[in-house]
Amino acid sequence: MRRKQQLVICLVSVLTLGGCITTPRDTYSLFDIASLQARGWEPDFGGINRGEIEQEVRAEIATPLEFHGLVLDELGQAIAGHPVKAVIFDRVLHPFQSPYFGWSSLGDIRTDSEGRFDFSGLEGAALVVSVSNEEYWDVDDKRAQRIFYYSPSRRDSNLHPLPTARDAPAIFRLDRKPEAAGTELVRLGSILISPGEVAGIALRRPRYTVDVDDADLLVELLRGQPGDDGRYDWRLQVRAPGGGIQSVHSLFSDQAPEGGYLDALELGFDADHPQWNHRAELLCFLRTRKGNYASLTLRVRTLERPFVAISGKLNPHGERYLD
Amino acid sequence: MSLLRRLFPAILACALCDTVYALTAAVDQNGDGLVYPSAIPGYAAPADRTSPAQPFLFWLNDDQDDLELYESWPHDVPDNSDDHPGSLRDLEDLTRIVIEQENWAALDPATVSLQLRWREGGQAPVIRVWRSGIPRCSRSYLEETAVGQRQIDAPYRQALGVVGTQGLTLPLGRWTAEERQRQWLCLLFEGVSEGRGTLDVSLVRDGQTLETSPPLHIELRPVKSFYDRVGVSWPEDLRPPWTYIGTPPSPELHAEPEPMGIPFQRPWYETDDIIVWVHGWIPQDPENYQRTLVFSFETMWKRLWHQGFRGRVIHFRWPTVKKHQMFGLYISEYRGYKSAPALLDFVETLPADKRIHITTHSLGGVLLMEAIKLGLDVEEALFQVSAVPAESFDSNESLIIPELKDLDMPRDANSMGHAGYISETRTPIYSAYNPADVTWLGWNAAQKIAKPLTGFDRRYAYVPNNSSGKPYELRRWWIQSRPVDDQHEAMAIAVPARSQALGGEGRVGGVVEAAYNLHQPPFEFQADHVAMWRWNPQKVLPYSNLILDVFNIPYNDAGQSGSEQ
Repeated sequence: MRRKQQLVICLVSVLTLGGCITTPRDTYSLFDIASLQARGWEPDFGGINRGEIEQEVRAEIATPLEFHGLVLDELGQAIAGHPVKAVIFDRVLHPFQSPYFGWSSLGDIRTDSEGRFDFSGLEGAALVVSVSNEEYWDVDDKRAQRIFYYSPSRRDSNLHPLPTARDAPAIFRLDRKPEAAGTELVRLGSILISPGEVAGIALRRPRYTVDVDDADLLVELLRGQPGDDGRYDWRLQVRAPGGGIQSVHSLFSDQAPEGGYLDALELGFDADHPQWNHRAELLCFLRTRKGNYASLTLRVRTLERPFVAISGKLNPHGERYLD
Repeated sequence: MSLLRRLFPAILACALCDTVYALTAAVDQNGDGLVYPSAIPGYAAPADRTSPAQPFLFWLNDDQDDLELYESWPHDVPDNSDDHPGSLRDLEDLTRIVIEQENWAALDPATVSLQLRWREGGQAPVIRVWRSGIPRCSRSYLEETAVGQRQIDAPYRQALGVVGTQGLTLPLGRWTAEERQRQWLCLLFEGVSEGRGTLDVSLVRDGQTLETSPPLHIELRPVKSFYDRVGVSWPEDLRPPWTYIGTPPSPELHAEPEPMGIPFQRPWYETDDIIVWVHGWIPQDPENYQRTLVFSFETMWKRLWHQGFRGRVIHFRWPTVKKHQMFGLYISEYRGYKSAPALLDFVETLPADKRIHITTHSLGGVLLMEAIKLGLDVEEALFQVSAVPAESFDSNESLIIPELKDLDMPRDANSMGHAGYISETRTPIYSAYNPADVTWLGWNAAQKIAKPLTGFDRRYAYVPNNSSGKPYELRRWWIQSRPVDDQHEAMAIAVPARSQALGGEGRVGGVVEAAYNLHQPPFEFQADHVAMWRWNPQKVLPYSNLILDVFNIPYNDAGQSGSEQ
């Protein structure tokens, strides 16, 4: 009995403390924001004044939302009990200098006996739905997720009418994933590079460089002399020999883009850049000379022992799918 | 020995119609996470070669990893006293041997065996050997829970045997036909007893040696010999500051070596990097201190080692007080400030040509912050979920917790508050924060409820326009008071932080170069304040990489795709 009393007292104390103590919020760091800004990415809110953005976003996430979905197999038969993932853009993220849309997961959802799933009585700017999993994918959209815009200012972005009526649901047709959808992890660790020298990197060869003829990526660091403040100009050129590369703001997409690849990218800082840093990150999609696709995070550190550290996913089957 | 005699076993093997190619055994001698018995054309990865002067160094598996979280204490049944891995955590006390032969499938598994034997002479160590459950000989048993689980389950769970004064003979039939189709056979081993020896790996049949690998030079030592330790002790006669009627005496503290019976031995591979590790709020009695050291820091040392760090790590103990609940926190904060000069002095004794990096966990942030205030100048300082006010590093008002905004006390460091305490430094500061960490509930409660200290006939009070010129005083009953001259006393006991802790706050700028959110992938530490060492290595190795990355030290990350043969 005494032990129970102690437990109750302890629980009450914790709940009381929890109720009256402000605990931290999960936020992006200023560093995250600076990184985005260093990459030249500012949120596009259609020319709205910064001071008006939050108000605008709050209005958008208040849009009433109704959704009807239907999941079918490859023969067109409804699939009951199939897991569905969905998130709704329903909140404003702080403390970004410019507020962003935040989202909530709609939890564990499964199709009913008729293969249907519905959302109603919700408010949000957009809904992201995914019915793909490790075994099956959505044959009409292999990116694994579809986005449905509800807020009036974004409805034009929809490719199809919003499925707001039960008799006109969004149809998800599933098929077993082919072997070609399989991906492998790229975890190369740190690869030392020498300024002024072209280094070859292969996605299946960790920690060290490879001959440039065997490389999926070629990187070259150019570094100037440091000034009194220790800062120096530096550039890292990243080339995809025989393939292509493109920088992205996030690797949210599960499918590499079909086009838009460049021969090379460059990142770095001038010594007098206000956000100068000896470190930088590059998020990119890569198309190798063999025609395979990868989504990669490349971290470059340029101090006295410069290195690049690379991680990501590779589809070795020539497919753009990178789930 | 004549060439003919050396080649005789191979000639004999050919005569018996088995094709025996060169045999090469290797361990991860260079610490790059890869084990390559021979170089690969077109790829700069070096072959792993040991020598008497540069043996493979590893530690004894004499802790007790038989729990899912943490470790058992005391070590009644050391892990190396039985023949199976104790847990996923125990796998970080194992390491690999890769044995390369051109064509294992050409050898008769019923008659040909692998033999492992120490050469005679000297004190050879004892190792226990397992068959690796990872076909490509990668480290993925350390990186992925499912793979690690496979290693500790049948058929890989049971050790193959021990290599001690007796050799160990392993029929090739121990490996499946599929495994023998590959170029490499993979073993894992643990250290059973210390020593330094030369291991021969041979192919034998009917007592005849067919082929012997170039030898492996291996040295096994207690893990405590791999890292250095120093400690600061608090004078026994020095009491908490609120017990003094007059101004409390200021201690002069120094760091002293802490050999613990196993002094640090500089490994041959040591690089020019030194990491000084300042612990958090931990117990100090010998038993609990050693236990905590093993659970936390020693585990982190192993994880950094596995990720390729080959510099020196020095554990810096300071005199925290874990008992007396909230009073222990006050005292520890106060002692943290007072121990900072000893940290600074110690760092200044380190060789000037080394790259010095400092990191701290939780309340150790007080010590590191104060050392920075005193002019600490090192390569980088990393605060790990640190229990120091975020506003000390960034006085921006947006960091103020709304409920504390109107507190009737100045927040500025010039008025004995916390805001802007560190306004400039030559040391780049980084923070690893976790807003979901349950610790902040207690830390915030301490700021909001327990500061300033009141009770037991003592009370710290804010007295604006005090005749002494000091904004705080310590009152005893209602008849005595003294001004608080010492800002450390004020910050530790009298003045609540107006912001979240640095370790819970992502928005902090100021002198903080960058902050990393441990609540987000790939870390996802949830509410756990000590996940980095409490959780199994398979879940938290990215965190070790974060530490090394912040320190601009290259690291391993070879996983599923990183061990291609």
